[in-house]
Amino acid sequence: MTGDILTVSTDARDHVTVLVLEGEVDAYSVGQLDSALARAAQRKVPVIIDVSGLGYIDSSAFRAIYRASEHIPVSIVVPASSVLSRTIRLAGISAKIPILPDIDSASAQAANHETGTRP
Amino acid sequence: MGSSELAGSGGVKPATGAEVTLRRLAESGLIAVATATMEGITEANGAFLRLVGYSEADLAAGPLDWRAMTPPEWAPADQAALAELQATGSCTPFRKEYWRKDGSRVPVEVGAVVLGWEPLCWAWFIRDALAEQQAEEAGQQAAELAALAAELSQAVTVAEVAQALAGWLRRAVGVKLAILVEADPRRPVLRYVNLHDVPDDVARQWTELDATHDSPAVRAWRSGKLVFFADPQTIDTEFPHFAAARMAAGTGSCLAVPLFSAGKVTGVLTVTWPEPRLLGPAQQQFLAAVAGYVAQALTWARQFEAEHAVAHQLQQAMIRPAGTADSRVEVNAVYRPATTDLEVGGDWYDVLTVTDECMALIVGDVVGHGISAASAMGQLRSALRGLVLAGLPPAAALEALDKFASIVPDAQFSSCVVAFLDARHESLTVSVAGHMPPLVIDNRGQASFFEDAQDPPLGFADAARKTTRLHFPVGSTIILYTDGLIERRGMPLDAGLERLAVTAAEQSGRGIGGLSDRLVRELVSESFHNDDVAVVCARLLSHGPARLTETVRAEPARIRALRRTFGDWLQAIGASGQARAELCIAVGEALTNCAEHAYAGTQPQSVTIEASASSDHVQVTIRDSGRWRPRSGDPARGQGLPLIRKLMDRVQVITGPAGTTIAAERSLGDKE
Repeated sequence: MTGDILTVSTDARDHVTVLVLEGEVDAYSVGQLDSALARAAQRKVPVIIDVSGLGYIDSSAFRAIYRASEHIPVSIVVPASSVLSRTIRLAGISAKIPILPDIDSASAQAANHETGTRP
Repeated sequence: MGSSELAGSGGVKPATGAEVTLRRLAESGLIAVATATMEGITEANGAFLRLVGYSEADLAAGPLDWRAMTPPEWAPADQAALAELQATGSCTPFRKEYWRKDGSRVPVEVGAVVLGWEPLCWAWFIRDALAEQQAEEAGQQAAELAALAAELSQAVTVAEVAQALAGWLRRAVGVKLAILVEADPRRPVLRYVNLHDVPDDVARQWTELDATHDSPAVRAWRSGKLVFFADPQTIDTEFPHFAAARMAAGTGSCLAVPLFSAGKVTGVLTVTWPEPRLLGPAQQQFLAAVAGYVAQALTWARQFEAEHAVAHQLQQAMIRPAGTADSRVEVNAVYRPATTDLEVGGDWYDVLTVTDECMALIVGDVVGHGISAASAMGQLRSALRGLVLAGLPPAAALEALDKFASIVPDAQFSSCVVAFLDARHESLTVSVAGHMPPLVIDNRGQASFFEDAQDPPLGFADAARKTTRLHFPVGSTIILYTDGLIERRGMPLDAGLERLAVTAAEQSGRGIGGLSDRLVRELVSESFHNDDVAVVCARLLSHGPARLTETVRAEPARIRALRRTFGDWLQAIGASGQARAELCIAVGEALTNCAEHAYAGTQPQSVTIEASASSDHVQVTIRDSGRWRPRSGDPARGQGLPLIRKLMDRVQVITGPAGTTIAAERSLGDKE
């Protein structure tokens, strides 16, 4: 089984890493997300996962994101209009992982997070 | 002076032969006799004085003014009689009335002969006509009562009773206002029955609804007796709080008669006249008889209305569709009774799910109105339901219904249209039994009538019934209706159909929701439609299959493919984007669980998905022959089932020796 139904693009910005997911994340493509998160964690800056372009997500993805958040601040960007927005809110990760409507607010939030943790 | 002799104010005159005869006649007391000149009555016998209520002393005090004793409407008759008298020496007996001294009237028949010419002097011979007049009045009253009874027998509803009564009272009794109130059986109030006939301000003040508030109606209601107030002064003294309203209404006298039903006062009839009037015992009895008729008519009308309400409820219950279970077709239907609301109509509609792929739309119309039509309608509807659900196609169902109609009273000549809508094959199969042609609006908004399937009404098919099949692509709308939707007085049928086509094309562009109501509103006059109306509209939204059943080996590539098949199916049945995503996630989780855990360490086995859609829900079942692994201690693990539970409306997991089944249900729409 190949993971070609999922594309993960990494945008390494100054104070944040943005992972843009497109396609579908399921139990068989989640490995790509795992690897991308592991690489991003090495930069020691917050990670923003943009799922606006995703058509499918499941608990394996939430598991991967939850694990990554134990090492580095992670937030998820999903617009309210996305068909996955409700699923992500209900997934049980929002207590630890901020869910924001766009990259700008996620970046601002990540910057605050940085300031807050490193006075 | 004896009462049988002529008493007079004049002096003793020399007796002529004629005068002797006259005096003897007067003395006999057989007839009232009075001698008069242009100045007045100078002599009169006891019979005359008794008749007009004067005493001998009154006569002795001076001549009685016969002009003043005559009500003005009789003055011309007096003039005519005097003219005849002067011309011929006598006058033909004629009818008139005198005012009695006490102000009441007495009807009389009067003749006269000249006694002397210079100055003119004559004798009146007067016969008491009261008994005759009473007999005549009684005859007239009997005729009036018969007329009232006839009019009331035409009145079916309480409002009609009130209307018939008011018209009759104005005509026969000369009343100004007739106000009918009924006692509320539960609360101490009197309700107006015919408020529309009375100016609001007058009605509200003149006969108060509040039964604790003193009014003529309340007095009649409480006492169970007729109450009468002869003139404005009496009314204002008795009811000072109504003085202003009485003046405004110009009421001169007022009568309130209790209405009895089963020995209880159930209402009051109040009538007012513009002038003061005296009401003799005979007239009071007459009006009491009127009240008796009215009470009975009201009781019947109430009974009719209660039965009518029951029939309406029955009909509403009968036309309620069984509920459709197809998300691919949007249906909207309405039944509206006639505004005259007198009788239950015979229109009906029905919407049935015949098979997964086929829905039946039915509209029918039983000739006539009333309980018998409603009953025939109920029987036809039930029979047709049974025939359609038993699997008969439209033409065969109508042929069987032809036979059925021939044994149901009032069912013959009913019309009916049956349309089978096959969503999967985008087709419409229609048979019409003497009914209005179905209207189809295609997916470009073009309206056309479906005229090919016309056949005779029920019970009159002499050959096999026709069926016509029509391509009915997604986006098309079919409208079935009864003639109440298009028939208007003075408008040719074709014009009505044209109007429907134009309106439906326009309105269907705004969606199916409420379309039937909008059509009725646009096409049927609010104020006047004496026919009931049934309308069914259906639009094909998608043509996906109603069910999805697939079994695959539980391995990643097949699970993904099945997830997509499921997603495509959801799209085809019209699920919203969010519903589709969430149902796919739930199914994906379940399938993944089967693959990852159920068969861990063994060869992949099969997993079966079964999904079905109702009008607004999807039910999906995933069945495997393994056992799901229990949730581990890792908070990030085993999230599959909790997520399914959060996304679905209902979830059930059944784990047995044969395997695990997960059944879930979710609505087809978006959620917050």
